[in-house]
Amino acid sequence: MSDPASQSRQKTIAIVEDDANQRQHYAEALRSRGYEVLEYADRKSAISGFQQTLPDLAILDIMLGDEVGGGFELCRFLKDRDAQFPIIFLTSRGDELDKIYGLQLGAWDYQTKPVSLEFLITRIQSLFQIKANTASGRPSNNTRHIGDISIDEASMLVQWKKTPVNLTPTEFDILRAILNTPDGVSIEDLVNATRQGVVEDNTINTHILHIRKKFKQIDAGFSCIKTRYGFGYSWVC
Amino acid sequence: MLSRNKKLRRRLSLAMQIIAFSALFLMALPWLGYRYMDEMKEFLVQGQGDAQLLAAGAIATVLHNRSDLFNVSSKPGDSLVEASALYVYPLDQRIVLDGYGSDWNLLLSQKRTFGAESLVYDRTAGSVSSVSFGLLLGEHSSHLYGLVSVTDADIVYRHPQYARLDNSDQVRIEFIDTAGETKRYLLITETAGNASVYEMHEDWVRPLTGEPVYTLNAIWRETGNGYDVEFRFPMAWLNEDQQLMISVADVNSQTERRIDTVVTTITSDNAGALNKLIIRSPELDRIIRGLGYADASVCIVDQYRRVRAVLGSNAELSTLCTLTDKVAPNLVVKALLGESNVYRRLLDSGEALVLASHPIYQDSEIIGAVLVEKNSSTILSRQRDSLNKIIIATAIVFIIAIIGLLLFSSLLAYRIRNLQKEVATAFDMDGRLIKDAIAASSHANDEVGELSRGFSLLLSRLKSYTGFLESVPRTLRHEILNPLNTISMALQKMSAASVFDEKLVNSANQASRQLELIVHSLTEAAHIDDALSQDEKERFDLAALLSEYIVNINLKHGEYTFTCSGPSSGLEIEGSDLRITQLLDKLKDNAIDFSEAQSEIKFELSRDNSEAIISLCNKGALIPEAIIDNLCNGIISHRQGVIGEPHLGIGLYVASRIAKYHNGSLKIFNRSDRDGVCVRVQLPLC
Repeated sequence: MSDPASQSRQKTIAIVEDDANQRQHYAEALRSRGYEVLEYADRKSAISGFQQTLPDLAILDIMLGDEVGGGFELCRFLKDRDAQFPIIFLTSRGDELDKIYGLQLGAWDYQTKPVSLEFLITRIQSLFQIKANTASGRPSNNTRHIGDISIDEASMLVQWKKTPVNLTPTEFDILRAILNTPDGVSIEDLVNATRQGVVEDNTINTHILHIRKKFKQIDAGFSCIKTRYGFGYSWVC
Repeated sequence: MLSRNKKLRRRLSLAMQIIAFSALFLMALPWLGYRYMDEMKEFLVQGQGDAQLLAAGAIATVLHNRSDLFNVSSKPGDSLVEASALYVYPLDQRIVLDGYGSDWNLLLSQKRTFGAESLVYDRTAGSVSSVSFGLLLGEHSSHLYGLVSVTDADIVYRHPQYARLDNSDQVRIEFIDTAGETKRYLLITETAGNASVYEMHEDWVRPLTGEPVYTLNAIWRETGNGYDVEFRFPMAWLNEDQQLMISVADVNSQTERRIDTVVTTITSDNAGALNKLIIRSPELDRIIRGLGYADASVCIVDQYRRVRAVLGSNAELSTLCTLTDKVAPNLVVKALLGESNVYRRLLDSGEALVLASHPIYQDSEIIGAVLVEKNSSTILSRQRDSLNKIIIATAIVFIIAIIGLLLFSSLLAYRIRNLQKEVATAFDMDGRLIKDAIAASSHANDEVGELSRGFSLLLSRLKSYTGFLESVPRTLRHEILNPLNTISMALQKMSAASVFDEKLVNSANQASRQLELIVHSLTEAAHIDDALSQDEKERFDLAALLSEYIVNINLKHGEYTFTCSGPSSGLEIEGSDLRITQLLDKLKDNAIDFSEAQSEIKFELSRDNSEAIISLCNKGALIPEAIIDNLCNGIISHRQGVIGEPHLGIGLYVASRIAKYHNGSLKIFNRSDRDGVCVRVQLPLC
């Protein structure tokens, strides 16, 4: 992997995690990559810290001490301050309802523990890249066009019929995997494509449903992602 | 003790509530009976009225064109005579001639008074107040009886030395006999007691013969304000026109003995005529006697509302037809105007008095009316009898019902109490389940029996669930300890060797992945229902899905052969295709775990009425009957000897929840040839 620190030296990342051991592991890993890390153990201290300095990205646990939804509260707080603020939920609450709720609140990503530190850092880099691209508003030169869809892997931008589709990094990974395999991609391959340790089959299905919904918001007749029962998905357009 | 009292009160309350509730309805029975009887009485009284009207009509029909029976004069101008007629009351018994009017009983009040308006002679030209008298005439045993009550302050008796008979107070009777001649009889006396009767000349001065008449008896009695004279003579003396006049002559004084005034029963302006006697017609009596019917009273009145015949008697009719010579109620007036009527009113006794009237015609002229009267005492008495019977019958039914209800509710309370006790003892003090079946009322075919069986089922499920909960730590411990042991050993080895060994790291990573899988499986199972509730349902072809699924899994799992029999399209269901795929994955994974390598795993799709049925059978080990029903509960696994994957048995639980989400069911059973296990999923079709 190229040295990410050179790209992210000035970036500040806040970690809000009530478990001191885990918080320390994440902080050390991020600092080793050159990021500045702010550590908070609960919602109150995090809010007081955010009021002084807003970081570039926040990694939030949902359950903070006695506060069952403390992470959600923080997410709302940050989104109120900056609607485009990148937030990653990193939590042991892996059920789908929490995921849907977290993403609805505006989180950019939702990762279930345990998560590989390498994967987490890659994900953070992707988010910073997306943020940079969104800020510049320009796609890079290596954009691929497959029918009505355009995909720019470097800037993680997707357009359907020239309208941008706002996908999360995981959704982008899944769509890219489907597009890269014309014969169809199996669920197992999609699980690998998301680069997460353990993903249930149904989590992939849920992501596919979200991707389809986002495309249908642009084009109600969208039906290019076909389900191949017992195998996976394929792009047929 | 207090608690026991409370229990007792609650038990009584249950029984009493049932009884009170039932009593409420039972109490309505006598009331309904009473209402029915009341309505029936109304109906019967109405019927009686109609019957009476018919009877009155029938009697009137018989009397139509029979004016002869009423002695009605057909001569014009006779109406005045008719109007001044004297009514002869029929007497129930013979009058004792004693001068006392007590024999006349109630009729005394009907006495007719004659005074100044009937003055036919006045010597004093109004200077002396005229005499007045009251008159009652009656008829009994073919004799005419009369009571003349004269108001006279100074009674002048006959003087024996005078031959003339016009020098004392006297009563004169004048009538036309059967030969058509006018007869005049004078009643005088020398003292109170038997009066002398003489047949007189027209001048009322001297008798015809001088011989007293004994056939006409009369008694003279002094009263406080005058004198009373009672007399009697045979009706046979009167001709068929029955004309009669009574006069009273008042003599001025003992010394002068001159007649001052004469008052008659005919008004002054009709002087010279005689009064017509109105007597009940024997012929009419005879006719209506034949027409009368049970318990009814019949009264015939003429056009002047005078009673001409009466049959039967009762209090009401005696007022109407017996006591007075004229019947006054509107009913009679209307009948005499040509209107038939039924009149009904309630008496103080509660009985209804029903009167019916009908006019009697002579050609087109109304000559009288028929009154038929009857009270509803018979109906009332029958109503009372029936009510008594209803009350007695209701009381008996009531008592039997109350006793029955008491027994029934007590039995019910006893059974519920037993059930409650047994359910309470199904758990120990810590809430731990100690029995899984209820014996009380378990064989009863009623609701309590169903409740008991329901409790048993509940306890049995609770026991199964408790067993599942108790097995969770054991299963989890087993599943978690293995990967933990692997990680621990890898760490220990690396620590001892102090070198990085990739093989050991891979081994630890694999164990870590196993632990993650366990947690993810548990999470998936725990949240499957919530996740399902978020899914959007749509129609899709289950047969097409299964066909495609079989093709794809055959490509994916080369070491097994998957086949599918049944239709390849045309079985549409409503739900989530991804969830059905998830269900099929769970069934397939389960079948793979239980199947021998290279064996065939056979899916069968069929249609049973409105359901699609997916069966998946595989060869392999049987599942013990003891746990077969709990396999879908989760964390119950019967897998043996498979290494590398956690065996929590959650797959079937998730599959059964998905089937249930689609309003279907999932059942696991051993194959009938004892050669493997089948899973059967039933899903309702659209």
